[in-house]
Amino acid sequence: MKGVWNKVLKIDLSSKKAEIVPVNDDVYKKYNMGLGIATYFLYKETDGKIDPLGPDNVVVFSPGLFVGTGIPTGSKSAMTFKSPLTGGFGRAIVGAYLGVEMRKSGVDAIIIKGKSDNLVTLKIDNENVEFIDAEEYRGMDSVLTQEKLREKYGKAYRTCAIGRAGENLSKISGVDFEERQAARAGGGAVFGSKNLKAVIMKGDKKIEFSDEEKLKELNKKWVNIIKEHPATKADMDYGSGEFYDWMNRERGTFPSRNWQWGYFQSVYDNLKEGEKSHIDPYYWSPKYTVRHHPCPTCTKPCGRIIEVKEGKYAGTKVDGIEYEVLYSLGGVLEIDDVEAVAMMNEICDREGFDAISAGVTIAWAMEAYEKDLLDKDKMEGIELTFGNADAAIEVLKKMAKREGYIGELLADGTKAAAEKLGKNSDQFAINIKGLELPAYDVRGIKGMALALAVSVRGACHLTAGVYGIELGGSWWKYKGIDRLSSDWKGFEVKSAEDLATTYDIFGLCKFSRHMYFLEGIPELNNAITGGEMIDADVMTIGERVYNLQKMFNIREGIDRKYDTLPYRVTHNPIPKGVSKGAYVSEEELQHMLDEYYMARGWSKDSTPTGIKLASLDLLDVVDENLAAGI
Amino acid sequence: MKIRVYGILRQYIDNRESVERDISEPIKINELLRDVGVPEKYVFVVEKNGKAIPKDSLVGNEDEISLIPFISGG
Ligand code: SF4
Repeated sequence: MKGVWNKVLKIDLSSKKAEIVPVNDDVYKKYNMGLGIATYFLYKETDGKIDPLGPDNVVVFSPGLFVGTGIPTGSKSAMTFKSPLTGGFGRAIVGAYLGVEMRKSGVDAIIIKGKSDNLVTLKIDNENVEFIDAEEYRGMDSVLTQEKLREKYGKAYRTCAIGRAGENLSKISGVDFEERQAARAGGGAVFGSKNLKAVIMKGDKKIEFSDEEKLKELNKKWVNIIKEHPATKADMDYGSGEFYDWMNRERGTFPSRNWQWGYFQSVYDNLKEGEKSHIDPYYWSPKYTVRHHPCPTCTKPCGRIIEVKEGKYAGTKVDGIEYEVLYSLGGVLEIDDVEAVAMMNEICDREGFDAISAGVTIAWAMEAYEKDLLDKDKMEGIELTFGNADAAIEVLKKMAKREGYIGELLADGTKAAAEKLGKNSDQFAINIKGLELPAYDVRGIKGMALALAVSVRGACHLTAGVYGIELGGSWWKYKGIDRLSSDWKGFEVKSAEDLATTYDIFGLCKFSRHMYFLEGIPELNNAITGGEMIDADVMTIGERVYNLQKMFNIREGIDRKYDTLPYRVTHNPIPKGVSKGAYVSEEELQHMLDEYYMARGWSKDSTPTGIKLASLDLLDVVDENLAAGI
Repeated sequence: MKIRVYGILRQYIDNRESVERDISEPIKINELLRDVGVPEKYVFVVEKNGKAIPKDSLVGNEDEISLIPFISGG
């Protein structure tokens, strides 16, 4: 097959050995690249019930098929591992330049297992691996570490590294790829547990595509389609948070104050005509943006570098602020100060935290503090009340070091913190399967509630990404969707998951799914590989890979019992605003789950049936005994 | 009639939040979109008085119309 190398690189950190393993075409036909083969190899290379922070856990990294081909927004690589946060399938998708180097290196994925006895950097030149001592970078932040590595080994290397949070095995830590984060589900701790500080890579081979001319022509076509699309200008001017104001005013589904509110009440209730919330990108983006910061081959960059030049947060410079962070380090903490949010964003990136999980964890602590559940004598004078940005900043720094009572309590996210604290504090711990919820108040977006409940990696907004369909009511082939109804959501979420999975397989950015939809994918695949993919195959490959991820969880015993919603979503209706009164009752959740498992062809306890696995040709990988009967 | 325009579609109406039109008899949404200058292919939902309606529906002078793009989100 063209467009792939038919090889992967296996690296054992315990023995400090690396080997090239050939991969035959059938594997690519079934799983393609990116999240597809990263799921396949993770499943194959691990057994169930391994310790996610032990040497048997595996990290797989693979660029999507479109990475390195010039296809606009074909920029994403996938990293998979067993998640120390959820105990299940761990996945992070990232716009990594390192992925582009891998496409030129001679291998389609790297598979890292074992544990080094010293802190190391992996230096990979094409297919050759060196294990370099990284002791000098211990405790150094992730961004600076990568700068130093490039200074030392040359700018041609593209990099990733963990910060202190990962070194200290925080279960909410991620891996930084040149200020793009593979943030969610605790991949940073997996790196840390392996004593792996950084990976640097360069490749200088040219991968062969089946039809170079056709590919060039298609690239030109898509560059033009993207250029004229109104989302391009909006994303470039305001970033992913462009619709922040709409979420608050028109839908009332921007969760704030640890989900006590469905919109940022204390700000919006006091705005005068013409005023804007200070975390609204329409307010801050023109003031603070220094330049765009695109992922590889993105022609519609939502990423931007912003800089705070004056005031007490002066010196802050960060890639952001993404929509999710406006919530996790803004609304949910009741902080409307964009400069403080920017500073926390930078701390998260440098220390190596998942900014969603870290912020939501602090929000939990603020509520616990205000309810007098925390041991105030051990707070070292920090008044962790809602809206207190300086207290949040101090706590964030302590979390990275696991310092003091509060740093240690919060370092592993809301689930671990609520378990340690007790006192019914799990009733306001905003997580599913351990992963903190993203910036959509799913009490008023019921299909999205289902999507978060069933996602294999916990409360992930991108596994199905149905928020756009739900909040708008119509998209692509979806019509007449009522966000407050719990009917037909199973079918909606199932198909959206399959489609979203293919985006992570091909490496297309999901912020361009309203441009490529499904129909844009096959001809690009065919120009690269020489295959004969048609539209229907796209959904099948997504479904196959999604079922394999689900089987990973089933192997771990993660079934229907874990497909839940936070107590606050099922018991505390949104108090005010456009979605006032909305919540998801336990009955509605069970109804949506039944419908979803049926749409998936799974049993009532959420196990894929043997016939489903056979029809997806998965029984050569998956143990048939794990499948359900009909 | 008032036509409220959201998000990324505002760039077609000079970044305003809404535009007004006076029509003497009911017209189809797609004609209205052409008149206002918002390309139909980027409008995912049209709401009439808060309820979603098909793009070939008729609307009258007393209706309030909302034009909503796809929310690509974050
Ligand atoms: S739209 Fe944003 S996230 Fe997507 S590829 Fe471009 S810069 Fe990256």
